[in-house]
Amino acid sequence: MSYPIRVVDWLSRVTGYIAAAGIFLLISVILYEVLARFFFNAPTVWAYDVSYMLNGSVILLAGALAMKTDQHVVIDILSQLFSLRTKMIIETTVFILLLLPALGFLCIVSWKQFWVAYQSGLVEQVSPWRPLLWPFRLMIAFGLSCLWLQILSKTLSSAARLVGASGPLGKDA
Amino acid sequence: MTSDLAIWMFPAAFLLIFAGIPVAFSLLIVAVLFALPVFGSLSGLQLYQFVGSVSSNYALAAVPLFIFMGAVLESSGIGKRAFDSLSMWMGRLPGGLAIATLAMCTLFAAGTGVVGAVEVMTGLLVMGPMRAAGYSKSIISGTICAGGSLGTMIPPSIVIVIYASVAQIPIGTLFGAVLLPGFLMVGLFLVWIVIYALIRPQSAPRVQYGDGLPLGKKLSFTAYALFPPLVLVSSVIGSILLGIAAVTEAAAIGAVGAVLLNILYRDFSWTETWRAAVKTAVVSSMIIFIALGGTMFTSIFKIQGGAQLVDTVISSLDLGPNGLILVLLLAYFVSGMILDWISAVLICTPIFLPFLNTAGADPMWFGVLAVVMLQTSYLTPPMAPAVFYLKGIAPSDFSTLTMYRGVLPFIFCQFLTAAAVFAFPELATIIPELMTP
Repeated sequence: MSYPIRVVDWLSRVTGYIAAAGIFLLISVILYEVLARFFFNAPTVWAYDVSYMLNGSVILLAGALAMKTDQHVVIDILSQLFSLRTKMIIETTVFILLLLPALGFLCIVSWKQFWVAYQSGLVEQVSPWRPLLWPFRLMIAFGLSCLWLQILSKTLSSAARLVGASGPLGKDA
Repeated sequence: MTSDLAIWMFPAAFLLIFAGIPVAFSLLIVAVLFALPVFGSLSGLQLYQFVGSVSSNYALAAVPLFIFMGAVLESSGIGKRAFDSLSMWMGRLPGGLAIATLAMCTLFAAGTGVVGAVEVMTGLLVMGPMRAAGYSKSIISGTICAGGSLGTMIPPSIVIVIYASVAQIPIGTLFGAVLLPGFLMVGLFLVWIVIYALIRPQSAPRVQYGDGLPLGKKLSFTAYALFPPLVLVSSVIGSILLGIAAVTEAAAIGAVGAVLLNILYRDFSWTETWRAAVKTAVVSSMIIFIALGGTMFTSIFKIQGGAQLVDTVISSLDLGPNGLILVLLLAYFVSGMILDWISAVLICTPIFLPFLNTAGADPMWFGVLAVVMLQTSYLTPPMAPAVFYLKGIAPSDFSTLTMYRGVLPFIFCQFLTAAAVFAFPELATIIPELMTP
């Protein structure tokens, strides 16, 4: 496996583990809010915003690991009839021509939105706590970009196998 | 003019989905492609808003929390102890082990939300004892598949969390609404098992587990095995139904409670808990990415004029209100069969919602029916996920045909439940009415 692919795999694992750690954090934040409200009658102003931001970050950060471990739902009623090679050709073509541009487009927009929020110090308007928006937007942009990289890495290694640059087909399908 | 484009959105998405591209990405690709002609340079901002609204949905935070609770419970010995103690009491009934299995699934469906996981855990647990006792392959298959599918129906189910947040009805209230129909369904399952066991006693024999044990020992083991998980599950669901805690809060309490139970039973291990967290992150991400793709897809579809398109088609069918409801439910059933339940909920629900008003249907009542349909499609051959999961864990002498035969009576029970809810909407509405003070 080439070096860049290893780096992306490593990145997907790390972001996945950060997401897993985020779950414990999410549980703690909500639990703190429940305890503060029920037992000390002192609800926090921040728990609501922090929980949804944590949840959103967990979900986006784990996207790359889900991709790497093939956990994204595939409907294989028809595609199971294709040969492995056909399946890989279809997947690689769709990923290169459609998925990478479409998701890449979203990544660029999300980085721009992060930058806008960062520069102008944008705050969440509907919340009484009025948190800064850029950290959450940074997580969205970062999570989507990691997913994009993981898809790119998967596409490149499939393409390499299709043209026979590395290893025979079907070895580790 | 624009609705011309909307016509092509579904074929385009299905082409990608059936070509084997992950569902979430298929929906996302089509949404981006079809957004460009309408919004032009504003497409990016428009699409980003969907990313923002899905990832900052507070109610959806309940999804990872319930999944974590389920994953922790699965990795523990709680299921095995529950089955052991239940079969000690129920084994002597006709079809006793199947009854014990369903009882455990009802308890555990409440503990977990992801349908396949409960089924695999149950299957691994009960396959051995049931075969050893001489149960027929078809009743074993049917019981495991049907029991595993209860995770869709019995709260706190992830299906319901997703459905309610897409349909914009309170999650807690929908939990209340499915409660009676859920128990009715379990009741019908039990009736079928007993009938089967009475007709063919040799295929579902009674067993005498723990007969040598003194009564006191039996009672104390049952209290030890069943009481703590029952307290956990009923406090999570109870606090939601009584309106004490928000669904997300109850889910967090359930997650902590599951870990505490493991510590209490000395099942706790850091490795297992960490593994549960990683699995939770990945599975939740998979679910919410479909939610993301689905939201983008249906929103762009509606903006493209897809809503009028569906409206034209539906009104040209000229159905009465009941006919309309039946057609919508059929659509849930069929899309549940060819897709997975998450995509089915996310694609159908936003498009169908406006028609509920037209038909004058209670959204809560319709939600219950839709969930029963999704659960039924999960069991229905030839593309039943329930059977595929079972194949993964069953010994090789279980043929697919036997599994289908075993599942059929349970599918019938599910349709009976749907028919009952359809005929007597009170089954779905009575608990939500009690909940509103």
